[in-house]
Amino acid sequence: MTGLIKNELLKLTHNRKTYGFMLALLMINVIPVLLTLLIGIRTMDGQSYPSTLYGVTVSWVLPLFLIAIIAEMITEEYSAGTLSLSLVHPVTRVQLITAKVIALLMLILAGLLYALLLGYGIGTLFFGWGSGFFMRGISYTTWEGIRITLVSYFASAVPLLSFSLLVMFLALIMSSGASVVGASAGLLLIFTILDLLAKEISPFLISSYFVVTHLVLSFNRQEISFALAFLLLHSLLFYLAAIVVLQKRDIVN
Amino acid sequence: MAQNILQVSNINKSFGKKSVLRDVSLSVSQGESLGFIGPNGAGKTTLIRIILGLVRSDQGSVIINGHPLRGEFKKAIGNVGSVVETPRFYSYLSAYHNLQMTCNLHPQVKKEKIAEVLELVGLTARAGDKVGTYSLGMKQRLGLARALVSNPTLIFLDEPMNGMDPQGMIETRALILKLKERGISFFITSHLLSEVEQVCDHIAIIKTGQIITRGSMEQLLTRNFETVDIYTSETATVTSVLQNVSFVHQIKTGENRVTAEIDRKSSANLNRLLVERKIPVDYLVPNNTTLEQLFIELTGGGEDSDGSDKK
Ligand SMILES: Nc1ncnc2c1ncn2[C@@H]1O[C@H](COP(=O)(O)OP(=O)(O)OP(=O)(O)O)[C@@H](O)[C@H]1O
Ligand SMILES: [Mg+2]
Repeated sequence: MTGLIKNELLKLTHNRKTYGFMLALLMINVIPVLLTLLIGIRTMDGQSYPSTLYGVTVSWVLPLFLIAIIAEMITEEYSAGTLSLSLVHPVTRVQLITAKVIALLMLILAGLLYALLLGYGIGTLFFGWGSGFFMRGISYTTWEGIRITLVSYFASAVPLLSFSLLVMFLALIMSSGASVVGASAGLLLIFTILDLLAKEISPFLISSYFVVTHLVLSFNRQEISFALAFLLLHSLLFYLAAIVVLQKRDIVN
Repeated sequence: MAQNILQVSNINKSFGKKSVLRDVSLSVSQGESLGFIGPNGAGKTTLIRIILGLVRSDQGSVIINGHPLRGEFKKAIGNVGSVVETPRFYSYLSAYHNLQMTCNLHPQVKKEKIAEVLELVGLTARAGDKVGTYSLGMKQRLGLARALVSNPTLIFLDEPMNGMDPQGMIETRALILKLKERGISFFITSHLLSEVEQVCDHIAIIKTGQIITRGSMEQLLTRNFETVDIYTSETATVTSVLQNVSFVHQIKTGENRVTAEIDRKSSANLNRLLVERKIPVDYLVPNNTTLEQLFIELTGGGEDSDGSDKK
């Protein structure tokens, strides 16, 4: 099992998509800086900078990157015949899926850490650290700001992993990487629109859990429990579904 | 009798409505190398995938090293190395990394083994290059190396010589024979029947999903009679002389050659007879049954009627 995880990490660290993602995040961090420099008004502080980029990072950049990675990790590996390479050794299919899930969790955490470091680094470099943490017009102390930022970023790993399991399931039932990317990105878009249009169904859409700031700020136990229960069920459902699909599959590539 | 390292019993498999394997049984004993041959689409690759646990059979059982595939998968597969169809790799990773990934799945295998198998197939100098830059023959060699990483006792090779240059084929043949001496068993499919004939000691022939013949190479290629080509300018004389000889069964007369089917071990008698009658003979050439002849005889040659060559 550790061998399988090592293999997934070896692939991820040599994958061009990983570096593409890092570059994309870098650009997203630099663009507001450039705009600010062009317009000439200083609008931000280094310590608040990561939290202003938080939404787009966890709602779009990371989910899209994960979709691309999972499509390759499952669907493209199946059609290229490399998925079977692991399976002709003393490992089970359940272990293969689980190793991929663990590698994805590590990737998500690493991606979030990278985004945080980039945000603090670039923000402070261009705007200076600043005197306090501002969010939605409210000011907090520096320490509170750091806490809110760190907890929000890393807590998003949970919904992002749950989303990854949904994509993984799609990747197992679809036969081309492009259709997995299309379907998953389409789903993400539809969920986002539904979330805006019909607030009453948003608790049942995985994408509405990506941003967790409101939970971090309110610390409403009931809301947090509901969120955790939903995420757990959502994850379990797609994890088990993925296992069932793979167990039944004849691997002919 | 040596212990069976592989025992396949009564395998049936259909893809949808199409029956691909019917009641397939075969075995490989320790140190044996089985040549598994048959026309395109006969079901060779499918059987290998079933034995490796990639495809589920509808019926039947597979036992490797005494461990049933269903139930004791990890133990069964632990000592197996394989190359299925054209070997696949992560093309953006180096050959070394590709082998390392296999090594990672066998905790008891040391990292040094990677360099060892690379050396064995002559790829040490290119080990750091991405596999995407490899030629087909180099990939075949690397596939063989990967099959060896885990110190297997049973190795499956599906068309191992496909795409290799003559040098590569000679080296691969020598390598297989060397590994065989160490007691490793092989299960080899190939359309290069002369290679199979040189490397394998047992044969199973499959046609449209059914085993039609199996046995030792020696047994299958030995007949009750031998064929001898007699090259001579006096074909008519030879034909008339042989007409009433008891050990000659059949005579075919060609332009400057007579082909005679004679009792086994009676070529010396034939030779003596021709000398006694003072018939000038240029050459006397024994004509052994080749695997190719046997194959064509038994399968009728060509592709399976309801099979298609899968890309
Ligand atoms: N995934 C699949 N779905 C449907 N039919 C399949 C599938 N894989 C193989 N077949 C069919 O099973 C039969 C056996 O195929 P297989 O690949 O085992 O043949 P083979 O003996 O290896 O042939 P070749 O010598 O061309 O490699 C063929 O008729 C093929 O069309
Ligand atoms: Mg085949």
